[in-house]
This record gives sequence, structure tokens and C-alpha cells, in this order.
Amino acid sequence: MQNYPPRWADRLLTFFCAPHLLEEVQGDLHERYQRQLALFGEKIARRQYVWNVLSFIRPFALKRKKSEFQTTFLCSPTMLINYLKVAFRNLVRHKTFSSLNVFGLTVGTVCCLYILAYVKDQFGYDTYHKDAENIYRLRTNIVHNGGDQPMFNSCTSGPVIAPTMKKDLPEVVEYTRALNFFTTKNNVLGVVGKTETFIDDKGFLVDSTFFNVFTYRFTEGSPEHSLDAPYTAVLSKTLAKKMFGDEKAINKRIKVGSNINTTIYTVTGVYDDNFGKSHLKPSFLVSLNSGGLGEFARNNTEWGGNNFIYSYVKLKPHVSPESVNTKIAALLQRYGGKRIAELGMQKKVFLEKITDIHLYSKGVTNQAGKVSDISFLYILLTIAAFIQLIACINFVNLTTARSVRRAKEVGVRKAVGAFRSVLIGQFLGESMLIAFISIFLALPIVQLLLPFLNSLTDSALELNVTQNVDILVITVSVALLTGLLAGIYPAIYLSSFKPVSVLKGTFKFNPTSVVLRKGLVVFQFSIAIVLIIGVLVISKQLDFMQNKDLGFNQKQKIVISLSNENAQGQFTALKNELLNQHQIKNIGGVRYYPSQSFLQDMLVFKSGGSMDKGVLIKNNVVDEGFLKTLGIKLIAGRNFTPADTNNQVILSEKSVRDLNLTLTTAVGTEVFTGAVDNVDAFRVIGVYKDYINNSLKEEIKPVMMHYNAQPEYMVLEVQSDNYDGLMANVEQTWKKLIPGFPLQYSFLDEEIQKQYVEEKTLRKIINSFTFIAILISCLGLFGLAMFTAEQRTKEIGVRKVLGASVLSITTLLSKEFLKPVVVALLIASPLSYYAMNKWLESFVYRTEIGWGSFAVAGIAIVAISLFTVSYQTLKAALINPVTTLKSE
Amino acid sequence: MKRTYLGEFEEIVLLTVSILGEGAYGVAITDELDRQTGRSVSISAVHAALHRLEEKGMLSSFMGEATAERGGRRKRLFRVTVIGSKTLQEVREQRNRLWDAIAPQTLPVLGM
Repeated sequence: MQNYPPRWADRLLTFFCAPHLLEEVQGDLHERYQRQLALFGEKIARRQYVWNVLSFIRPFALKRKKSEFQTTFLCSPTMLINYLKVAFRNLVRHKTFSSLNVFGLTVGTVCCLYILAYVKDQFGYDTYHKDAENIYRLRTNIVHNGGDQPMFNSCTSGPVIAPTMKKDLPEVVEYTRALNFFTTKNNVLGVVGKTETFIDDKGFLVDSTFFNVFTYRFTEGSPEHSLDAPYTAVLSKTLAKKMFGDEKAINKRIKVGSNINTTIYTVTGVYDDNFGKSHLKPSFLVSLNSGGLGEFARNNTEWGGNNFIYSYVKLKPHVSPESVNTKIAALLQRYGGKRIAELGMQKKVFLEKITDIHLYSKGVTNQAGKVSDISFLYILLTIAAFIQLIACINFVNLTTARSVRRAKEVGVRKAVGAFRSVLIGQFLGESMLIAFISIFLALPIVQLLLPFLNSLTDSALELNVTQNVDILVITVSVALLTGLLAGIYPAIYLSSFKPVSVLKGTFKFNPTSVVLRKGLVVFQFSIAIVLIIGVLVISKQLDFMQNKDLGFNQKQKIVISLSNENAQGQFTALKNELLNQHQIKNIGGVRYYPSQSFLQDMLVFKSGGSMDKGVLIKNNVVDEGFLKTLGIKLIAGRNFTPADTNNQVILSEKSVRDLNLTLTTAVGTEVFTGAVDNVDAFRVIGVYKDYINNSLKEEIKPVMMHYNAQPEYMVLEVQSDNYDGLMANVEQTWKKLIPGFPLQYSFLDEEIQKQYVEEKTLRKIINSFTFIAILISCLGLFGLAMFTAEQRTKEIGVRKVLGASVLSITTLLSKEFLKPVVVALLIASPLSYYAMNKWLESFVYRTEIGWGSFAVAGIAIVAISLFTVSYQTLKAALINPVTTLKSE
Repeated sequence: MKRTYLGEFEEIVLLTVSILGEGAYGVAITDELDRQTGRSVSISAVHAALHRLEEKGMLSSFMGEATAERGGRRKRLFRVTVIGSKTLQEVREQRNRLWDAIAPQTLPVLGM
């Protein structure tokens, strides 16, 4: 036969035509082709052939014939029982490998479950409100002329904006405002007629429309009109229980004290504060229709500054927030354009979905409560995924390495008539079985470790599988996914064995599977190394921050809060009284002590300037003892004296520079603030050396210190080993001078460290996960070493007989396992260098990564893996060759 | 009388298989069809019809010899079964009955 029809058409036919029809159909087509070829020539014959092939694409030719023989049915009960029996026998016979697998997967699953439950818990904030998707919070961004960074990126806004929106914009159905109760963070609460006091910092002044916007479930009273009347209050169930015990709280009268005054409110309702997750989470609400601060907020008409209140608006359904944002900009321009220009700022007010607040408003200042961060959740999820992946890799490696043991079973099953798909099902089933065993072990472990895990993430998560359907779904899907991930490759690999070669005994390992196994080990250890380096760098940065010279002495400082007007009035008396104690060296008064954000600022300009060209300078208020107490250096001029007034100021070095002054010219000059008709002048009496007031993530800001002898906080410099005794003395003095208010104090260095809670949490979490990642990786390595040692007993015997020493054999075996670890080190180092550099960039003051971390990580991981395999390699090397070789 | 339905094309194929006797296979049937009726049909259509007829039990088949021009592939040879021939008979008788029932001169006369 010289001339064949087109090959591709033939192939196509072979592909689609049912096998039992193929021979006759193809035969007929070829016969026809030969005739056409003879009659009409090649070109037409070929075309006809293709046409004929294509015309066979019809149901009868496509339909496969059922096999005449009965096939093994995957789901027949007998076979299922057989699979289970074989699976359990395998588990029991190879106890070490099984427990390595189960242990690794259990540990991984514990991490996974907890993290998934935690992440799930972080979602769903504020979704329980009716029409939650239409409720927005107003955010404010202010850029001062000449700067490109927003100086003010806050979730508060001016009190006049929201009511005006309701009035002017038809899209706005309702608005409400909430004001965190007074500027200092302490509210002292009490019941009228009782002396006991409670401290609470989550009270809000709110509009009477609050419950029209937000949904709260009342246990006493009802939300309607509960806050209409002035001096009414609504309490959370928790606070009501604290204040009134089991008595009804409704219609009772409570005292709310602040640093300004004490006011009496009537309770009109109690709401369940455990219903729903909210970013606000107030412990009590009082009517904004009351006097004092409420009156100030209600009557405020400032469009530029005074952005101190949380504003919420509810829009009509299906209104896009962008369209409203444009209208807000127009509104700002219409009512406040002149004022904003006068202040030399660009102001932007825009909407933020309340359901996004918890996860997407990180970095915005003046938050009402603790917010989380979506990227932190992503980090956690990534870690969880990697840990589980490491555990799955163990399963893959141990199963494929030991496939020799299952090879005969595969051969026999295939010879008896098992299809490959059936075998894949069997092996996948086995890995599912192990995954589910791990889940059942992991669940009680997670429950047991919950307090510890919660301390890592700083949360109060509860895990109740039986009551929470979501958790159950998560659990089962983790098990299924793990089983699939761990089992799919081994199943495909094991089921690929050819029965002929397996049963003949000429079975050889597939070299690609060995390479893959090594690759997977490299992957595992790369993750472990990245985590180790991460921990080292984070620790280094934390140490750096702890030991960084902040420009003042933070050790042995006690901060006492003067949270009411009474205490502030007694400041001098208290100071004098306390200084009599020899352990107390110095006392200073201050409004914002280090670690607190400066909440006040003003636009300051030199003589001849104006406000729109001014420099935004933060304000602090101190007394004459503050600089000395903290050891802040005065580099020019003099300190405050009690004779000074609010008109004398001490500038920071940075503000001198920003104002374009010099150290020598600064002292004695005047600086100004305010608009044309209302300018305040301040005489500069001194300049102090910059100190780091806030976190090391932030640049130092220009600051101006004013004088006040009645500050909000006092800082004690003490020298004592016995803080308890000292504080008891301090408390005695306090009680004598300021009866009725509890003493509240903290240690300055601890307050400063609190700024790095996030980094510390991250370190704690990565620390634990690093440990787990190394543990699981080493388990896998241990299993592989054990298997190799078993495989090579004869070889080792022969080597020993020929004169190899124990050392040389140990080295030989260990080298094989060290290689992937070293490769992992090479891969992981640049990766983690890049990642940690990125992380460090978030700090203004940061440490170098340095070679140290890499060296430590490298040595640690090599040592750990050597230690892991050494038991097996030594054991193998020490066996007497007689025992291994006698059977040969 | 109830019987398995026989399509027009199926009937012709079945008849052609009967004409060919021993040598009835795909290509031969297609060619014979062409010759007898002048209808040029595709091989696949013939195969499909054969397949259907075999499923209905009117044809039986077995693999025949291989030839070189078929690339060493065997032919599937078809033979009419008893059911097949009975069905053909019935179809024919029914037609005859119908012809007989037509009154003379009802059909327009052609030619003569």
C-alpha cells in the first residue's frame, strides 16, 4: 500500500469512534479511499475521506459499548469493607509511619481549624443592623497646604456635617452622631445615693436618632424615643449588671463624672451588648440633647476644624456612595469653603461602609474601638495553609517512599480486575480516613488549647462545633481538602504500577518520584526557614525598639491619671505631699505623656506670616517639673516657672526647624496662630531636644509645649525596688486629698511598649507557628530517614564488612538528608530577606536585617535536621552486619 | 398488526443486504444502493442504518476476511435474519393489499 488517507483524519476517527466499531468503519473508509484514489486522484480522494470521517460523528459511532464482563463495582459493600480492612491493617502494621502521619496532620489541622475559626469570627462585624448595607460612617481627610501627606486621616468628622447632609441631600434617610465621652479616657460612673464608683471608657453621647440607624436589642425599656429627652441614658446589660446587680435599672438615676464635671442621668433602657458584633461596642449611651459637651456639639457650626465626632448616615436603598461623596464635596464647598481656605487646608469628607470598618479601616486615627486588619488575616491564613501543606507533604513523602510495600497489593488487585480509577478511589479513601482521624483528634485539642491560642491572637474566641454550623462546615471541608491534597498524588502514583513488573519482582522506583520527594522536602524546609528568619528579624526589631534611646528616660516612671477636676485642682498639694517620700525623686505634670497621641494642634506662623502658610504644630501642656522628670534636655532658653502663663511656650527642636528659626534666634521671638481678627501670640522661652513621643513607626512631629499647673496626668520619677509598698503610700496620700475617686496608675515603660502590641502578637504567632512548622517538617524527615535506613540495611552491612566506620556510614546517610535542607536554605534566604525588608519598611526607626539572622537560622535548621536524622542513621550504622547479611 | 417499525431507508438497506447475499458489508451495500436506486448516500448513513437494523434484530453480523485495500482490517458482513425477512414480507404484503384495494382508474394514468 503506497498511498494512505490523511493521518490526522485517521487519528480523529480512532479518537471518537467507539472501539468495537472502529475496525469495520475504518476498513470501509480505507477501501472507499482506495477506490476514489484510483477513480479521481489523490486530492479528491483525500477530501472525500475527511468528509466521510467527519460524517461519522454521529451518536451511534460515538456511543461506547458496555463491557460484556461485569466490572468490579467500587461501592459494593464487600469491597468497601475490604478497603477499610486493608486500610486499618496498614495503619496498625506500620505504627510508626501511621502515627507520624496522623500526628503531623493533627497538629496542622489544629492550627488550621483555629485560624479559620478566628478569621471567620473577624468577619460579619456590624452586619446585624437593619439595612446595614446602607449605613455609612463619615471619614475626614485633611491635607494642609504645602504638605502632601494627610495630616489628619480620621474616622471622626465635624458635628455640623451629618445634620446638614440630612437637610440638604434627599438620599440621606437618617443620621446619627456619637461622641466618645469626654477627652480623657476615664468616665467615673456611680449610682445616685451610693458611694461605689465604676470606671468605664466606652460611653458615648449620641443623637436621639441613634436607634433609628443602628439596631439594638433592648432587655429593658424600648429603643423608641429612649434618648429624646436631655439627661437620659441607656446602659448595656453588662454595665447595668455591674451597677445594679439583679435589680431593674430602668428609671434609676446614675452619676457620670468626667474631668470636667459630674452629671446625673436617668436610665431609660438597657440593651443586650452581646447581640451582634459592632465596631462601636458602647457600654453606655447618653443623650446628646443634654447640656455641656452635648450642647457644644449640637451648636457647633465649624466646617473646617473641630472634627471630633463620629457621624453615621443611612442612605436610601441602591444609592451609590460615590454619588453622595460628590455631593458632600459640594456641600463642604458651599458652607465651609471660605473657612477651609482660611485655615489653609484641603478637606475631604467621604463615606465608609460600616460593615467595612472592622477590617478595612486600619491606620485611620481616632477609632472608637479595636479594629482588625484584613492583611493580618491574610498572613494568618497563609501560615495556616502552609502548615497544613507541610503536613500533607509528609503524608505524600512517606506514602510514596513506602509504595514498595503496597506495590504487590496494587499488582494483585489489578490482575484480578481492578481499574485504575477504583485503585485511586481506594487510596484517596485511605488518605481521607487519616484526615478524618486527624480532625477527630484535633477538635478536642483545639478546645483544650483554646485559652492559649486566644492569648496568641488576643481574642476571646469560642469554638462550639455542635452549635455553630459554620464551624462544622469548616471542619469537614478542612478534612476533605486535606485528604484530597495529601492523597491525590500518592493515589495516582500507586495506582500507576504495572501488574506485570510488580508481580514479576522487577519493580523499580520511578526516579521522578524520588526527585519530587526531595523537592517537597526542600519546600517544607524553605517554609520553616522563612518563618525562622521572620521570627529572628521581628525579635531583633522589637529589641531595637525596646532599647532605642527615645530622648528621655522611660524607666522607673509611674503615670497617675488625674481624671477629674477635683484631682487636677489638688495637683500641687498632691505633688508636694508625695515629694516628701524619699523614693519619689521628681514629679511632672503633662497632658499627653509619651505613647499618647497629641490630639491638639494649631497652625503656627512667624511674625509677618499668616495662617495659610503656617506650620501644623502639635500642642502639649506641661508644668515646670515635666522636662526634668523625664530627663528631656533643654538645649536653649529656660524651663517654665510657676510665674509663666499660657503665653509662654517651649518649642521642640523639630518645630524650630520647621518654622525656619535657629536655636539662637528662636528664644525670645514670638510665634502666632489664629485668623486675621483673632491672632494669639506666644513668646518662645526655650527649645527642648526632640524626644520620641509616639511609636517608632512614626516620624517625630513638631511640638509646642504650653504651661499649665493643673495637668491631666502626673508622672513620678521613682527609685524603688518595692513598688507595692510605694504605691500603697501613694494611694494613702491620694485618698486623703482626693477622696471618692479611685487611684489609677500605670508604668510609663509598659505604656510605651503597648504601642507595639501588634508586632508582639505577630511575633508570638509566628513563634508558635515556626515551632510547629519545624516540628512537622522534622517528623517527615525522621520518617524518611527511618525508611531509608531500613531500605539500605544490606548495603550498610556490606560496607561495614568491607571496613567502613560508623562515622563514615552516618555521614553517608546524613548527607542525603542535609542536601535538601541546604538547598532550602539557599532558596529561603533571599525570599525572607525580601519579605522582612518590606515589613521593616513600616518603621521609621528600624534595625538592619544583617547576616546574623541568616547564619543563626541556617545553623539552627541544619542542626535540628541533623539531630532528627542522627537517631536513625546511627542506629543503622551500629547494626551488626551479621544480622542484616545472614539471610543472603 | 403490531410490528417493529421499519423506516423507508432502512427497508431499502435491508433489501439491498438481501440482494447482496453473502457479500453484504458497508461499502458494498453503499455501492449497490447507488446502483439500484441512483441514490448517492454516505457510508456513515449506511452504517448507522445497519447498526439500527441489527439492534432491531433484523440483521445479524459477523466479521469477515481482511483485504489489503482495507489496510488489513476485517469487514463486518451482514445477513438478513428471520425477523428481518418476515418484516420485509409483511411490508410487501401490506403494500400488495393496499394496491389491490385501489379501484381501477383512480390513479392518473401514466404513458399507456
